[in-house]
Formats: sequence, structure tokens, C-alpha cells
Amino acid sequence: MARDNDEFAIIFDEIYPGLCRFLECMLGRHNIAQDIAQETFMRLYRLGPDSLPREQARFWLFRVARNLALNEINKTKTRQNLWQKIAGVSQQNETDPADTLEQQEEVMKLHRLLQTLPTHQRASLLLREQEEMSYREIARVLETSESKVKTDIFRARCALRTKWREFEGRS
Amino acid sequence: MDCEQMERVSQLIDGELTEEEAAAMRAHLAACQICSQGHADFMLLRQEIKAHDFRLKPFAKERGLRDIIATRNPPLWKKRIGIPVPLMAVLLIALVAVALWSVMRLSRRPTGQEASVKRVTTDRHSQDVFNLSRFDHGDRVAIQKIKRVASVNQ
Amino acid sequence: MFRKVFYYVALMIPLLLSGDNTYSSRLSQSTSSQRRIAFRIATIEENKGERRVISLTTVEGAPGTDFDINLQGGRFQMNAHFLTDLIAQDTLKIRTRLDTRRLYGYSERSLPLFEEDNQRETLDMSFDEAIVLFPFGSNGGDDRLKIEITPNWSDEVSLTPAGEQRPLSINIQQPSSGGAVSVHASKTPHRFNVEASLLKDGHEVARGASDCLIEEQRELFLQPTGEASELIENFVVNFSLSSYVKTDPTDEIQIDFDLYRASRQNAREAIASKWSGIASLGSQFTYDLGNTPFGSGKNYQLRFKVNLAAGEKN
Repeated sequence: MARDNDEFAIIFDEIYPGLCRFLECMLGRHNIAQDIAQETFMRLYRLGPDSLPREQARFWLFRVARNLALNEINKTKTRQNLWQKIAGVSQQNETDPADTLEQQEEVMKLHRLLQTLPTHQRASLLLREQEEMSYREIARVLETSESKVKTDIFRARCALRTKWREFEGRS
Repeated sequence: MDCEQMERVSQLIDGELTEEEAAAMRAHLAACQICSQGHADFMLLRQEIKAHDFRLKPFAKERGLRDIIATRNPPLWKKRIGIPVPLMAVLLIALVAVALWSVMRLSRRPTGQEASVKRVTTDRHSQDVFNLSRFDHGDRVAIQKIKRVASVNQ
Repeated sequence: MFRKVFYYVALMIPLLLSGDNTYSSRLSQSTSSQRRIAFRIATIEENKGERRVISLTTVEGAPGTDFDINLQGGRFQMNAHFLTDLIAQDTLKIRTRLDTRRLYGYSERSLPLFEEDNQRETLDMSFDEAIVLFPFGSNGGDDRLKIEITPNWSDEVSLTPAGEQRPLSINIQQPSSGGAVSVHASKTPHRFNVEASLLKDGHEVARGASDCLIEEQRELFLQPTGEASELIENFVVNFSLSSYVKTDPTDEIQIDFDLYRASRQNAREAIASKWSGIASLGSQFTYDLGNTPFGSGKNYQLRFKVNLAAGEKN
């Protein structure tokens, strides 16, 4: 059992920071991201040591985390206007007091822009840019087709590009 | 206005094109200003997303891992015990009886003969987990010299 | 006549007894130097006064056997290196090097950060004593881990009936779960003789020699030789030997040293500081002091020769 815990600890060390980063960008919030990451790893731990080959653990973890994030998003979703919701998210976004004002604003801008994307486009783009997964791997995580992943990523980029310019123009 | 090749720009930066397709795309980028601008914008976007880092509080990760692993070995008082009530009652009575008997035996033992030897258990087939982390409180290693007591080294 | 015989016998008895004592003491010394020493290494968990043995290993070998105890967990590593020497009939000199490495956390870029600690200790102990090592400190609370190292004279002698050195042995009576604790042992020479000479224009002007133990800091005062009547300064070499390596054609050892010039008031001026080199046993090797402030413009050299001490085997 000691060896199982060591094995789990290695997976935890490797994947936890990336998973938190992915969840924060999916949810637009910092603390809840860590809670969901914790819950995701707890589920893996409960599965047991022999239930999943190590190389598949990463994909499993991101899949479960994405699902838990969607549950959380649906829970707090309202019928407000998209930009009003973004304003609310930006207020809720906990920032590290150690960050400079500029760093905080950059993070908030990124979160705001990502929150404008549909969740499936957001997830595909984040897995591509943050985790450097291939389209095939992303399709495996999100349980969809490669062509959908390809399209989602392209549309996400186009949408963010447009909104970024709008944001830059406004500020 | 977008070029119809723009989607392939997205695939190019993700390494999802074949060698030939990538070469053709690079040639197109040299000629098409729209795609070239799109390529630059997509790369900038990538940079922005990659630059974002999740700031973990110190020891948050260690605490998280410890909390998860602790769920497999919860303290005894947290463990669920599914025993029928009559059986539980019988066990309780037996426990009390054994405790009373032990107390009576101890009170009969003559004084001055209490064992001072620490019993050393060498259980070769122990199923207990040998987990180093439970001893680790962050202190430095220490070394001492002691006088030997014959019984300790049995 | 009987009286003469009686007086002769009376005179001879003390001589016989003293000779016998001398012989027996020599015999006991040689016997004890041929006897092996067994180190019992027990890793013990203490929990609320209860002791549980996690692992038990015995290392047995001739005096001068060294051993390493490694502790390996998911986030913690310890290497405890023990150099042992029999310095008197029932006294061991134990020199330890304790290195620990603990995973502390992660940087902003998710790179692992480690906390490392290195300690050195020297203990003289007798055979009615033991060493206790606490890998996680001695203030454990309810749970504490310790490693007890207990020396005993072995019943076996160091030499086989054929006169060859009996190899050292490691007997694992109880392995630890998951290989968390491991013990390694080795036998390399510990006692050496170091000769140092100061040369001027190729001629020896001062020299000194000293026996020493491996990894022991020593000072060697170079005494002016007959040719150096004009040399009024004292030269001191502060050195230590380490990293003995068995190679072909001769074994090698590392020497680290400083060379000082000491005035009559005992003030020291460094001539060479933190120099080091690899010495082949039995061979001379030389350092040119021309680049030092002392040697500039003059042809001074420092020459060393390292040998095994008398009675030491490789």
C-alpha cells in the first residue's frame, strides 16, 4: 500500500498544478478551481491503484475535472446578459495580493475573454494551449471527435482574437 | 474578411498538418497578409494563455495530498462499524468482563516486580503499512551515543 | 646447590611471568586485531512506548569496515555513512556523514524544491555503548523512528585458515517493507602515511611525515633539513585524505591541503589554500609554488607521497 501511495503522490505532483490551472481558466475563479482539483484526485484515489494504467490517468483526470467544472458552471449560471455575467466574474475573481496591479488586470482580462467562449470551445483550447495535447488526445478527454476539436479550437481562437481587439480598442 | 485557409493556420500552429501540408501552408503565409496576421494573432493568444500560471499557496499541494491519502486510513473513531446491536451488546459485556478480570489480576500481583523491559515485537509477517511521512515533522537528523541496556537489544 | 637452584627459579619466575604477560598481551592485541566486529543495525518504530522492529541487518567484518544506511521514502531520503576504526582494544572511533534530502514544495513554475541538510559527527564509543540515529529528529511525539547501531565482537576471526582476509558479510535478518531501509558495507584502507617535502631548486629544504586516518584533518609541520640552515620559517601543511579508489596499476586517494608559513609569533600566512589532487599510492607528486606570492621569482615546490600505514592492507 505504501508503494500505491507513492505512485499516487507522483501522479498528484505531476498533474495537480496543471489541473488547477485548467480549472481556473474554465471557471474563471481561483479557489473553487483548487477544490474541484482536490475532488478529482479524490475520485482517482478511491478508484484504487490497479484500476487505471498510469499513462491514462492524465486523460481521466482532465475528463473528470471538466465534467465537475461544467456541473459547477451550470449550478451558478444565470440568465443575465453575457457582459454583465463577465463583470460579476471579474469581481469575484480572487487575486493574489502579492501580484502587481498590472498582473492582476492581465489575469482578469484573460479570464473574462475565456468566459465569453462556449464551454466546449474553452475546454478544447485550454487543453491545447496549456497541456499541449494533440487533437486526438483532446478528443479522448472530451469524448468527442477530432474534427469537432479542430473546429472548436479554430472558432475559439477567432472569437478570442476578435474580442481581444475589441477589448484593446475599448481600453 | 478572412481567408478560407485560415483554419489551416490554426492546424499549422498545433502541428496537426503533414509535412507537405505544412510546407504549402508556410508558402501561403508568405503570400497572404490575412493569414499571416491571423498566425501572429493566434501565436500571441497562445503566449497569453501559456503565461497564465496558477498560484498555489505554500504547502497547499502537500496538504491536499495528505488529506486524500488519509481517507484510506481514517482514525478509528471515524470508521463505520456495521455490527448488529445484540452482538454489540454481547461484545461490550465481554469487554467489560475482561477489563474487570485484568484489574483484579493486576491488583493481586506483588509489588516491585513490574516489568521494566520494553517488549520488542518482531513481527515478520506484519501487514502494517510502513509509511515514512508520519514520522516526518521537518526536524533535522540527530545522532546520539547511549549506554546499552541488555534487554533492549533482544 | 638446592639453594642456588631455588634462587635461580625465584629470579626467573618474575621474568617468565612478565614475558608471558608481554606475550599474552601481544597475543590478545593481535587476536583482537584479527577478530571481526559485528554491527547490528536495527530500524525501530516507537509509538506511545511500544517498539516495533522494522528491519534488522548485521554487518560483520574486520576492524575498519564502513557501512551506509539509506532511508528512502516518497519525499525523503537519508544517507548515513559510517567510517569505523578500532583505535584501542575496546574503543571504536565512528565518523559519520549524514545527508538528508526532503521535498519542500514546488516553485511558481511547478519545479520541485528540495531542502537538503549535511552533518558530520565523530564519536568514540566502547562495546558497551550503542549509537542511535534519529532520521527525523528526536522530538518525535507519538510516532518516532530510530536506527540503533550496536557493535559486538564476532566469534569469527578476520583470517581464514589459509591466512586470507575473510570477506565482510551483510546478513539481512529482517528486510524493511518496500525496501525503505537498505544497508551497504565496504572495506577500504583507513590508515595512511603522508610525507611532505618543500623543495627549492629541486633540493629538499624541509620535510615532515605523519600517519593519519582517512577523512581526518591533520597538520604536518615541515622541519628544515640540514641543507636549509638559512630557512628560519616554519611551514605547515594542513591536509585530509578522502575518496579512496581501487584502480590499476595502483590505488588512488584524494588529498586536500593548505600550505601555511608560520612566524615565530605563530601567525600564519597562507601560501596555498584549498588545493587538492589525486595521489597514486607510493608515487610522488609535486606542486609548483611559483604562482604563489611566496614562490614568485623562486623555484619552490611542494612534494607529497602517500602510502598505506604500516600494517594496513588494501
